[in-house]
Amino acid sequence: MSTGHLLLGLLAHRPQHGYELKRAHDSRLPTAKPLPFGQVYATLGRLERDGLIEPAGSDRDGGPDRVSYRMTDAGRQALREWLDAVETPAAFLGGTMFTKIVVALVAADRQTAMRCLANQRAAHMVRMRELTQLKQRAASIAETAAADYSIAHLDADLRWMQQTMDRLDTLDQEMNS
Amino acid sequence: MRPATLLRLAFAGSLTDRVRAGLTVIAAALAGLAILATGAVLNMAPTERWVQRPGGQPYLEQNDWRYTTTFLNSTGLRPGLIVMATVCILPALFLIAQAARLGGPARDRRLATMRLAGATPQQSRAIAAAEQGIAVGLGALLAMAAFPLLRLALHRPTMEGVRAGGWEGDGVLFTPYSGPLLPLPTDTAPAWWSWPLVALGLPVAAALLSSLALRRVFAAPTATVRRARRARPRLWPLWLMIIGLADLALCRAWIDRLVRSDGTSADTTPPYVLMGVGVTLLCVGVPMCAAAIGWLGAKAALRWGRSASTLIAARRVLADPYSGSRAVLALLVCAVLVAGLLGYRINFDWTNEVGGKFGFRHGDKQLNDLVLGILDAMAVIFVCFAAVGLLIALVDAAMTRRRIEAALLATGTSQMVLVKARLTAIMLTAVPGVLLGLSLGYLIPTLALPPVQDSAVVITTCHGFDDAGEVPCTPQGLAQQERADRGDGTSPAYGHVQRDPLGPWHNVYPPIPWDRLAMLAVIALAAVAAATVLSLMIGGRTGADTALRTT
Amino acid sequence: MSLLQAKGISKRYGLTDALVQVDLTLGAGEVLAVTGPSGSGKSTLLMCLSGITRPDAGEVWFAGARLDDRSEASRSVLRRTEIGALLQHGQLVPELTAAENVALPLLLGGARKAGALAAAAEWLGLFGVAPHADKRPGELSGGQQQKVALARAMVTQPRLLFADEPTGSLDSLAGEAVLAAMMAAARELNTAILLITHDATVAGYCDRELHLRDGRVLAGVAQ
Repeated sequence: MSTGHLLLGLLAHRPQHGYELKRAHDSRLPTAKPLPFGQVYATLGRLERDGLIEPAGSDRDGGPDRVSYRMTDAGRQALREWLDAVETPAAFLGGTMFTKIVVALVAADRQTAMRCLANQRAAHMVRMRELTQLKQRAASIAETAAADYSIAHLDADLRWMQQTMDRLDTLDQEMNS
Repeated sequence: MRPATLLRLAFAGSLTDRVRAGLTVIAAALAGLAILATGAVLNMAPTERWVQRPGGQPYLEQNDWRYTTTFLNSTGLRPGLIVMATVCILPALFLIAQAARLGGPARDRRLATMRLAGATPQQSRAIAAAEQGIAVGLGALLAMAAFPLLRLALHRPTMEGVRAGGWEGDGVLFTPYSGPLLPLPTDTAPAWWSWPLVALGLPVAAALLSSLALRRVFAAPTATVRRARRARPRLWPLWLMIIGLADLALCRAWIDRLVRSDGTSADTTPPYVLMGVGVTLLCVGVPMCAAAIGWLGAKAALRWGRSASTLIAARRVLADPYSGSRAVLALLVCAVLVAGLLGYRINFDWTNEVGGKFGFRHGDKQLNDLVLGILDAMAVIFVCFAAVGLLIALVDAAMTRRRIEAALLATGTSQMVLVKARLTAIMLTAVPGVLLGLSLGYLIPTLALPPVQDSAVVITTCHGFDDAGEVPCTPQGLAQQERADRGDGTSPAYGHVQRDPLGPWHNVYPPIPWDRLAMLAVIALAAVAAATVLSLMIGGRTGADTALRTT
Repeated sequence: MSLLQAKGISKRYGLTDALVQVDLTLGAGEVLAVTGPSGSGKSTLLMCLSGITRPDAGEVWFAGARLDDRSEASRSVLRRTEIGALLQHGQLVPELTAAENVALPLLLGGARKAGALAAAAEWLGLFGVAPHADKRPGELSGGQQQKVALARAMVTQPRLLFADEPTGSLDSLAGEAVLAAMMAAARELNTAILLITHDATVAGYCDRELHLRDGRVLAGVAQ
């Protein structure tokens, strides 16, 4: 569902049409794969069906019809809920978390992004404690090593969150420039 | 804390701490000996007595000549002797203070670590005080044991001579008796109070001082002691010197104007009082401005120096100008002292040389030579103590810097650069310091002593032998007389030659003895260089591998 | 009742706020991690809590009594009897042997040497460094040094242990061993621990976490 939330976030400030949304996505998430047009329109269709966005008008200067969309109140509500939700602490969360931070910075503000990171960090730490206890109770070295693997990946995510908190200001400037 | 614990903790140190303890014992022993010697001098039996002549006033008269030198025999010179003995205590005390600095950072860290383990401020103070107090106490005991032995060893009545005499009744010398004469006052025991002063006063004072000196450490019980010394030292002592010198020069000019050309003068008390103020300013300023001098020297070196060693040295001094100044301070004081003595002697000789032209003699040359000789000897003692203090400070600095130097070595700085840097760092303070010290030391007596006056016109009258009255002077005759006065065997041409100065008077100054001042500077700086090299050999030499591992 | 409590403590160094209105509670036997990047105020917080420095504002309470306005001597005694400390490194007296280092707090408290050394030997044995009792800290590995330091911190059986990056200079396995030993000893004696670290895996050993950023507590809600 994260592409949907991403597009929703990009629509937070002003109505945009599909092509603009694709360009905004590709420039803000340079490491992600470029978003195919097909997926943009399919996702917009789904968001419109769920009542999260609505057409805001169309312009037709020379080219084909270009419908621009704006966010509805329901859409705003859905975005907020998504931003406040904590992802299940598991390995390889980086991509999702990054998307979330970018959306938070674009659609809301620094404080929201910081809250996201803080909540996620707290959740990760809960999991870290569980795993550490598991490790201390481990009956075999194999169990210890398995716990270590999860702990190390959790730690990598936590480090990434830490660094992102540290550079949130500059990231914000870059995203909203 | 039990006494046994206190002892164990007080002597928990490393090699450096043992070296410090050893040096402290030696310095304390020297201080103890100096105090006992002063006590003995104070106890010297009077060498004069009141004599009541019939019908006259009672008067004081010397009746005893127990020693081989006038200096010891003369009661009038006794206060001077006491002052000198007392002054000799100072360098020993200075050495104790200097020794206490050795390995300071490591000791401070150890005490701070103990604080972390829950030692109260009083306890760590007690540990530091015990360390210092016991070492000094040991030295004091050593001194008290050594003094009687020294007294016995030095008690060598070598010469037989007239020991006592006096005037009897109406001025007839009664028969003197002969006896052994002593080169040193070994016949007197120290005053009773000098024993407890050494036994108790010295260690207690040392313990108190060391706990006072460490108060900064006690305030910070964190494991790492940060010493945030101000990087820029106080520069105002330099102003003290400038003002002091200007004051001296102005007062000199003032006095010169008060002196009239007929040799009389108006009241010169006010300028001399002002001059005393200037001398005081200089005496206070010199020891205080060592750090500022080093700082300025380092600034200059940083600006004009090119090599890496100069850069390291200059930055080192800028970062902590006080550590270098501590090392050089004693040397600076010695430079002032030695140059001051030189200036005084030059002035004295000059007075006699100029005055000799018309038969003026200034002071008792023999006694003056004796006093100056003793002062010179004291200066030598001071210089020796200063050299030892310098060595201690340098070894200490080298040990403190081991790790940093090891890191530099490990990253490819050559040993030679580090040696040069160390030498440069100390020279940045030492060179300007010694030059300044020598100039000031020479200038103070030169400016402060009354100037020598010469008369433009001198009337020479020659007298014949056997009250033959005035005879005409001839150039040949005067030359012959001069040779005879020099004592080269020529027979004199006249009974005596009288030279009367007629005026007008003018001031004449002795030529500045550049050669002797330069030699003093070279000797002082060579001593610094030698001490630096010696400190490298004693324990400052670092290898990249060893020092990086030490914890 | 809480063992250690900080109420709104603030501390400024010049123009920078090292701590801003930090609240903290630590119950008996509880293990709290204080985390945060360097410069976030962790060490300042520790200094305020352990009475090494005084906060500009706020109060520190230990076992029902104000700590921050006690005299230095009384705080020293507290450090020796009820509060232990374990730092990253450099806390052992380099000139004393391991056993003497551990016995030091007892000796400073006036204990007899034999008794103090016996207690020290016991603790060194508990942490597996008994064979090194007569070595000096310089002859021990980093992990062994930290175990000796831990023994010294625990020898007085304190009610509270401050640990400031205790594994900061150790590799991960040595760090793990020190942490496990510390936790086991603390649970055994019901000693509360305030553990300062920037390492999340170390904070994982604790019951709770207090995350500092720029001198403020960063509250996170884990759902």
